[in-house]
This record gives sequence, structure tokens and C-alpha cells, in this order.
Amino acid sequence: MLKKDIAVIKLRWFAWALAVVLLLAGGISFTVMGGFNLGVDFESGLSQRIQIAPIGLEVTYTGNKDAVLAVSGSGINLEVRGDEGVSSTNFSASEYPTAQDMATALDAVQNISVIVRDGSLDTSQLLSGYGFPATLSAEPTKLNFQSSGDANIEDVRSALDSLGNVRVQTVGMDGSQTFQVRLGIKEGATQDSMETEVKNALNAAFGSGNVVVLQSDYIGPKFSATLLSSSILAIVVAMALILLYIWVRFRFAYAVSSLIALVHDILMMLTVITLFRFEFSGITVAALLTIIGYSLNNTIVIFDRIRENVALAPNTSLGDTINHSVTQSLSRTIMSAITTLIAIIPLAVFASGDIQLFAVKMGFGILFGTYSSNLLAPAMLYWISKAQAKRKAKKAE
Amino acid sequence: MKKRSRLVIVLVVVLLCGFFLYPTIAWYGFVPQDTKELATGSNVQIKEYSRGQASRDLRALKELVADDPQAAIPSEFSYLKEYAKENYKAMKRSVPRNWTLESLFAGFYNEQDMFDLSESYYRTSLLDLKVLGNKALQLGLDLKGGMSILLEADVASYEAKIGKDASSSEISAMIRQDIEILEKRIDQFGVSEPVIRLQGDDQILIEIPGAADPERVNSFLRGKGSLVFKMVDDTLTSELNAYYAENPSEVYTDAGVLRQPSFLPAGKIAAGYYVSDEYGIDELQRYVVIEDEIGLDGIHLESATTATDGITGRPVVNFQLDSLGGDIFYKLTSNHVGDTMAVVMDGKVKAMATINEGIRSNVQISGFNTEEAADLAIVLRTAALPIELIVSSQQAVGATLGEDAVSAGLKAIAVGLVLVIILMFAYYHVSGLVANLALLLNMFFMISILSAFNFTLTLTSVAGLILTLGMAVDTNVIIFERIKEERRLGKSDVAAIKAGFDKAFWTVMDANITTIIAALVLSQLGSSAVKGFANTLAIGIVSSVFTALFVSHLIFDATVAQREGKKLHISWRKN
Repeated sequence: MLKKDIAVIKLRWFAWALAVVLLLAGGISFTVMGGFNLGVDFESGLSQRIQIAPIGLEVTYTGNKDAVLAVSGSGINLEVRGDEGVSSTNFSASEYPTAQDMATALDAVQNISVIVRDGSLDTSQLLSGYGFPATLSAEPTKLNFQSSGDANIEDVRSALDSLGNVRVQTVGMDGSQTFQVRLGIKEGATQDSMETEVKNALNAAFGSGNVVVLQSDYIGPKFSATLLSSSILAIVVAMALILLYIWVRFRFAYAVSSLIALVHDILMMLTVITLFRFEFSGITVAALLTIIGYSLNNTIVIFDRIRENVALAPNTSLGDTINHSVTQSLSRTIMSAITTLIAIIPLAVFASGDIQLFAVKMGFGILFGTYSSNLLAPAMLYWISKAQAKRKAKKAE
Repeated sequence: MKKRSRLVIVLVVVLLCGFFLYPTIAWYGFVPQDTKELATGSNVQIKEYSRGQASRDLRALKELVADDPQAAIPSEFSYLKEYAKENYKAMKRSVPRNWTLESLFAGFYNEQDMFDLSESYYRTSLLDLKVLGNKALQLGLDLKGGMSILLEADVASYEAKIGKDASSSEISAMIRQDIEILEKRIDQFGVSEPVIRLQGDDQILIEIPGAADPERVNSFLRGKGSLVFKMVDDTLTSELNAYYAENPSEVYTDAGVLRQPSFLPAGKIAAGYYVSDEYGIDELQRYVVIEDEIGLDGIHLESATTATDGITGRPVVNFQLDSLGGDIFYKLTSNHVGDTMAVVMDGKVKAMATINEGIRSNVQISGFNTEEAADLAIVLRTAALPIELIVSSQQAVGATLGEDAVSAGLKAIAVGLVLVIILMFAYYHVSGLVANLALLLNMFFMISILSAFNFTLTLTSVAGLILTLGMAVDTNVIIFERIKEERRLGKSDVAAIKAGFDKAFWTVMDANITTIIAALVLSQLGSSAVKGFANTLAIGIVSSVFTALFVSHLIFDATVAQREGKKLHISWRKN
């Protein structure tokens, strides 16, 4: 517990000046960098997560039954549906540690033949991407294995260079050879044609079948347009409803101050997103709205205290009351920020892709939210209340 | 509120949540993987499977009883005893004390009866499991792998085809027909049951769990080769029906498909004649022998409508063929006047009609009631969609990535939970443990509410769940800080607890109501990924307020406030 109150009101010019400078920097960088790095859901196109992984086995089936091969983390499962019923066989990675072992076991199944392309591969590294569970046929089904290699982002870039507007990012560890590939949509292209183009280009560069598509997202032009407008609508509607609630529960000055603090939070988040070239996707909208909720939560706890203290000691100056209230709420503010941060950090560490970015953005948001609710919103409340009092005094004259 | 009534409310909520969570635990914890796969299959697949199992059991039992009628019943067939008992009672005969194979057979009216009951046993147990699975918390496609496709009507090419603008209500009506047709094509899909539903007015969302194979989806959308016209062999058909009636165990293979009897000559195949029952599942009516050779492929169909015959007043189905199809059909029908022709979809006979004369392009089939005619028109239309669909967006996730996402999510939840628990204990001493208990209860409530409302757990809702971890303790933090403050003012522990909870109440409410406003707006207006996150967040807020105001409060009241002398530990320091 602090002996002396923090001089929030004294710091008000400085706090707002810092905020304005940062926001201006954000505005400048936004113009310089030419806007956001829009995610595939806002900017139509194809986004695929691919992994370069060698083919270990090629499996063919010549019988007249229905043979389906599924790959899971612990091995493969073969299901044969025929006149005699369904037979399901599991080949676990622990039992057949190498591709050669697995091939021998699979080969023993009637009508199945296996060509071994690389028998030394580790079966616990089997990948299941696009096209699995696969129905086996005379046309070989390829089984890919994750393995370390030296293909880097430049190789992928040059492989896809001919396709025009392509962006490539590395995902996960360097050795895993996993990349996120983004393609802008071209006139007349369909999801099918774009997928084929990417597949052919990658096959040409890394050898036929050596690339596994782990995930494939396609967003058509119309879809992305509706998504953008509905996201903006969501943010505007949420802010309006929140403003209304605070207005009813508190007073107009409180509602406007907290709303201005929120606008600051959103703009700061957008600044960070532009500066770090984070992708702006549908999940970003979720992060923005969560931060709106979080920062507001903080602001309201403090405003609640201010209101209570104003009622308790009407003769104390507003500045002192605000200082006192912020200080009283400080330990809660810190605890809340820390617990939320430590819940989010593991997400930023263990997750990948969209969710990891979400966690990182949330982390920044918590910092901005804490800053604005402790320094900016109380300052705003002070100014607006002073202005209201002045106007009242003028009217009274 | 009285302590006792609060305790009752907490207990009721805990029990209720336990009840909702039960299917999730039972499904993920106790159902074996291959049974799960069977139970998540389509109703048609479940039916096939049960028929196959029943055929196999019946054949095995017949062999066993021929071997030794006095032998005991092997345990895998003991489920039949229950049915036999019922029959014994119905037949007013005494139920045997020592069951033998012979007495088991005597417990059934005939082989068909035994087959039917055995089939219903297998089917009911799988359908029960399916119900259980539907009640359990569903994993989203991004966690278990699969494919989600949003399709929209290809309005431009449709307008080009008809040569004028199409109104939006017209388009939306055709989209609905498309959905009906796609649902009829589901059977082709194999293992998992796809979800097909209308989104907005002019879009179709298809979700296919498990499989992420674009080729199969494309063939599904095109629907080629699923509908054909074939000639029926009337003589063999009556022979076949007589044979099956005699030998019920010979009808199906173990996989549940029709067993082709050996007396059929090459080029003729046995098929089932199906009529859709009230649930939309094809119900087998009788058996038909048809030519293996295709008379006419359904891709030649241009349109199909129902109408009433001007003279007889009976319902008829009219369909149009393209010019090539008309030539083929004319040749076929001219050669087979007086014979029966079958409409076959996915190997099932859906309709039969007698040919009266050679027909070219405008075909009229009669001989049904109104409902049958309407059904047939739908079947015929499945050959072509009224309006073509184009992919608006598509997400496909392979199973490997899904598994990785699940393990990353679980790890993040576990680590986050442990960190928060340690921090709360380190900062608030024993009171921190109360907050931790509230936090764990909170997780339990959230997961059970998610399964109770049948929400799908996606990657974003896992993020929501983790975020709520941090926010859930916040309510407790607000209250604890207030209690500490009150104590610093010199209040007794009991008075401080009371004042702390009272004064923090509106702070907690205001803070959480504003957050829930944001969450609710998101869940209404956000995209589907964002919705999952918003729903989890909203549920998390409600349950964290409940756990703090009810559970934590109750524990404080019951421990400290009960006895004045008892010390409140809310910090490691003196104050």
C-alpha cells in the first residue's frame, strides 16, 4: 500500500502527450507502409500451410474392396470394407519404428503392395495432410514423413515466384520446413485452379509429392468484403452499447472519457499491428474487442472508485479524489494485468499461427489498456468535469 | 441470501453441470475409437453395418446349432437371450432355465424374426452411442481435421443461361433446392457425415469432419454418375424375392450390402428398391434384378417436374433430356416396349415404370401417388443442380495439424492454469486457494455449459477459454483487495469480508457487464471463427461472476465469518 497517492492528474499533460506522439507515429508508419498486412480472410486469396517432407512409402491396392488408410500421430490405420465385413488394422509407430518395418507389415496385407522410397524414415513423423483418410487404389497413395532438411523460405519464394502476388512466411522451427504461403486472387481464378497452380509449382521445385498441404484456406472476393464490413459493424455496435450502459450507470462525463480511452487503445493496437507488420485477420477483430472489454473493465473499476469517493468526500478537490482512487485501485490493476498476462503467455509460446498472433496482440493490448485506464481516462474525466463545471458557473451568472 | 440457500444453489449448479458434462466424459473417455467411427457414420452406414452384423451372427449361429444343438450359447450372442425370453413369454411357453443353442432358436418365430431382432440390437446400440456423441462437446474442424466449404450460387452464369436477370427470391429458392439435392448425395460420402446448411439467403455451408480431400468434395458437388436408368428383369425379380424370403440369412453380406445370389446370370445384378421413410432414410421395400449395363446416364437430364395428367387426372413426372440423351433413350425404349425400367441412384432402385412406347426427349412417367411423384422428381433433379455453385471460401485442415493444435492448446491451458494458481497462492495466501478453487470450478462450469449448449470447441474458443483463466481470477482479485482495504481501516475480519463483498459487488457487475456486451455483440456479428471465441468468453464471464459471488463468498462466510476468532489469511504480510 502506497503511503502517498500517485499524482495522476499532475501527469495528465505528459501522459496524453506521450499517447498523441505514439499515435502520430502510428499514423505516419501506416501511410509509409501502405496500410495493413491484411489476412487472407480480409483480402481474398489462397492461404496454405505447406510442409516439405519426403515421401517414404507409396501404397497401392489392387483388390475390389474399399480400403481406407488413415494417419494419426501414433501410426496408421487401415480399414478394409468388403463382403466379409469391415476389418480394421492398426500399425502403430512404436511397433514399426521405421518406414521399412511399416512397409513390410503393410505389404503382408492381401492386395496391398508398398514401394519403399526411403526406408530409414521414422514412422512417428508420419504426416497427414490434405487428402487423408485416403481411399487406396491402383494409383499409389503417398505417405510423407516429417524430416529435417535445408529448404528455406527463399527456396519456397523462388518456387512460387511465377505465380505473381505471393507471400511466404516460415512457421515453427527452422528445421521443420513448414511455411505459410499466401496468394492474391487473380481475375478468373478459382479455388481449384489456384490450388493446382501452387501444387504444380512446388512439385516442380521440391520433387513430385514431396510437399504436404497441412492446411488450405481459400477466401473468395465477396466473402472478404462482407467480413470486413461486419467486423467494423461489430466494433461500432459494441462501443455504442457500452457507452450507453456507462451513461446509464454513471454519468455522461464518465461515458465519454472511457470511450476516448478506448479509442486510444484501439488506435494503439492498430499502430502495433502496422509497425510489426502483424497480419490483420478476423482473429485480430476478436483481439481488439477483447481489449475493448478488458480496458473498459479496468477503467470502470477505477471510475467506480472515483464515484464512490466523490460521494464520500464531496469537499475534496476532484484532482485529489482521482489521484486517491487510482492509487487505491492500483494493486488490483497490477494483479489483474499480471494474471491475464501469465494466462496468455503460454498461448504465445505453444500455439502457432493465428492463435499465437492473437496472444501477442492481446499482450500489447493489456499494456495499452492498463496505461489508458490509469492515466488517460482519469485525465479526460478531469478535463470534462472541469469544463462542465465552468459552463455551469457561466450559466449561473 | 441465507448461507444454506446459497449452498443449495451452488450444489444444484455443480450437479447440473456434472450431468451435462457426463456425455463428454463418457464419449471421449470410454468409447473405443473404432466404435466412435461407426457411430459417427451416416444412418445409412449404421444400417448397413447392423445388417451385416446380423447376417454374420445368424449364419454363425446356424452353423453352431447344426454342429451341436445342446451346446451353450457363446457370450457374443447372449444378447439374443433377452429377445428370446420376450418371445417365450409372448408364446405363453415357459422360459428355459438352461439356455442351449436349440432353446435359443426355439425362442424365435423364424429365421427372419431372429435376423430382424439381431439387426435392431446392433442398430439401437449404435444409435444410442450416436446420441451420446451428439451430446458430447464437439471438436471443431480446425482441431480434428476436416474441411469447411462455403458455396454460393453462380448467378452470373445462370443469368447468362436463361438470358435475363434472376430475382433474389428466385436464387434463394434454387439454393434451397440445391441443398436438398446435396443432402440426397450425402450417401456417397463414406465414413463421416457432412453437415450441409443454408447460410444467409444465398450461401451453402458444408462441413466435412475428418476428411480433407478436395477431389472427393468436387465429385460430390458435381454429383456425376449417381443417377442412371436401367432395365429390369421381371422374371428374375420374382425368383429373387422368393429366394430371399426363404433364406433371410443370405440376403446381406457382413458389410451390410446385398449379397449377389449365385443363380443370377452375368450382366444381371440384384438391387434393393428403396422408398424414403419419414426420417428421410431410404427404407428397403423389395428386391429387383436389373441389368448391369447402364441404359441412360443421368447427366443427360435437363429438368424434371411434377404435373397432373390432363385425361386421367393422376400425378405424373415429366423430364427433359438433352439431344444425345434423347437419341439413346429412344433406342432403348423402342426396343423394350412393355418392359419395366428402373431409376437407379447410388445403386439403389428409386422408381420403376413400364414403358408404353418409344420416347425421345420429353418423358412422362406415371403410376404413382402425388407424394411419390414429387419424390421421384427430386431424385431425378439430383442429377443436376438447378443453379451451379462456386466456392466462396474453403478451409481445410489436415489431421496432423489438428492434433498439434489440440496438444498445443492443452499445454497452454495447463501451463497457464498452474502459473495463475501459483501466483494467486503466492500473493493471497490461503485466500488465494479459495480463488483457485473458484477458478477450477469455473473451468468445469465452462466446459459443461459448452457441451450443454452443443457448442463446437474450435481453436479460437480454446483461446477464449485461456483468456478467461486470467479474467476469472480478476473478480476475486477485486473482492480480495477490497477486503484488505477494509481491514486496513481497522475492521474485524468478519466485518471486512462483509464490507468487501458488498462494496465490490457493483464494481464487479459493471466491469463484467461491459465485457459481456462486447462478447455478445461479437457472437452475433462476428465471423464464425470469432463467434466461437465470443461464446466462450461470454460463458466464462457469467461463470466467473457466479463462482466469485457465490462460491468464494460462501467459503469465506463458512470458514472465517463463522467464528470470530478465526484468522483470515489474505496476504503473507501482516496487512
